Amino acid sequence: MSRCGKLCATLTLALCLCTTGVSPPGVSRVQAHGEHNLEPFIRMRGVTFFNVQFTHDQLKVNETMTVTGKFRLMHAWPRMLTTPELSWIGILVPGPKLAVRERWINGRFIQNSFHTELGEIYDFKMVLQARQPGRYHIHPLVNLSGTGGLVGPAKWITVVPGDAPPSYTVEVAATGEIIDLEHFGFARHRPRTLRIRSNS
Amino acid sequence: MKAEELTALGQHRLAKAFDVILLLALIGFFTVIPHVSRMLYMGDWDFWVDWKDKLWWPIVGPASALLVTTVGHYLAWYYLRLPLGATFAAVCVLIGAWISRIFSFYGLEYYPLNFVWPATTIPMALALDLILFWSRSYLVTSFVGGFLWGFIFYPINWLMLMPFLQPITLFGKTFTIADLMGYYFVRPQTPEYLRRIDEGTLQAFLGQRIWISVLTAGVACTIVYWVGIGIGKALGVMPLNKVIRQT
Repeated sequence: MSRCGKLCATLTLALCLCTTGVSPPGVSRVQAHGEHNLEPFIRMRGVTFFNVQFTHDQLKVNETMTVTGKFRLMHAWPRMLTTPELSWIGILVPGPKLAVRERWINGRFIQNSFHTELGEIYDFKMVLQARQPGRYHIHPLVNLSGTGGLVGPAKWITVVPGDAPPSYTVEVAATGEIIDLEHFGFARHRPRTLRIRSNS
Repeated sequence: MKAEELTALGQHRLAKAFDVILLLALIGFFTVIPHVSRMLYMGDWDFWVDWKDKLWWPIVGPASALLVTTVGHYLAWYYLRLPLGATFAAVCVLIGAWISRIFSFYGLEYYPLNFVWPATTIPMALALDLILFWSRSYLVTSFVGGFLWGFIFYPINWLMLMPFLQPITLFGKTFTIADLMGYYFVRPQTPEYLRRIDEGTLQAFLGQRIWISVLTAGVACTIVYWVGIGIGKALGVMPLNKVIRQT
């Protein structure tokens, strides 16, 4: 094999190893969200997270955990970004492997968007429910209108299989019926037994 | 067996093979292209149950779904005089949408299927084909069938949407089931404030705003029908005519 051929073969092998996730010893695999790739002026002059705490690092499917902390919209907001008026908190996770059951801002239950002002400190709490087994890098996330999502410090959370498939039951206000959001509307009711009229 | 018989048999087999390849190609085309068109124009209104509202979804949904469906409708009638093109395209796109929902939304991301079900257009496609079959006129089909396509999109899909509009009270706040699903099954890059639903512009009509939406959708679909016919003509008829003229 010529030198050029050997070089090509080596490069192809290295590329295959990289793309299949096999890394040489001493080199860690990157599985996070690239939060440090965010421009420093956004991280330092945009939203600052502090006192962020996760109650668990391992959960069974259907078990819940709580993420608490505070974030502040800095006064020195970058002028090239739109001043945010609406915000929404959540988590950065690859798909709803963990779902958000509750969102609390300054002690109030706020599931939808809320008004924010620069310079203010917001106390947040989220209750997460595990849905699918795996190991996930979870960030608290603040979405700001006109700016996008800004993430806080993360933690690796391991979800292990539970005793039952994922389930979140709630009560319908009008009828009192208990439904499961995981398959509501797709479940089939058991058909009633047909009454066959006798001619005799 | 004589040489002529062998040739005839070969021709027959070749024609059959060509038909099968053409049918597979058409199924592929009408599964993928309308699906891409729906993803581009209907997007989140088609993806998520909490985006299916009374203002945008009934207008954007049928108009974008009609665009490529009309191409199938036109080509089947132009070449084969078969009033089945729209139905064929609607079935193909629904199969494509469900493949995407099952393997991508559920398989990769783990969103439950009751949160991501796609809207159906098969009943409207049947109506469109039927009106062309009865009237044999694109003009009548555009005014009656096109209008009907937009007008009945919401009532038909409302049967599937209706259960998700029931109220739920949680910590003293009331949501619909669809709202709660949107908050629960997180979409990190689709924050709640981006959700374009039930904006205030039609609130002046109080309880009648759905009528405004479906009537607007009907008128929009009458126009979109002709855009679809134009695309069908430009892509499926004119190039072929050019080739025939050259030969």
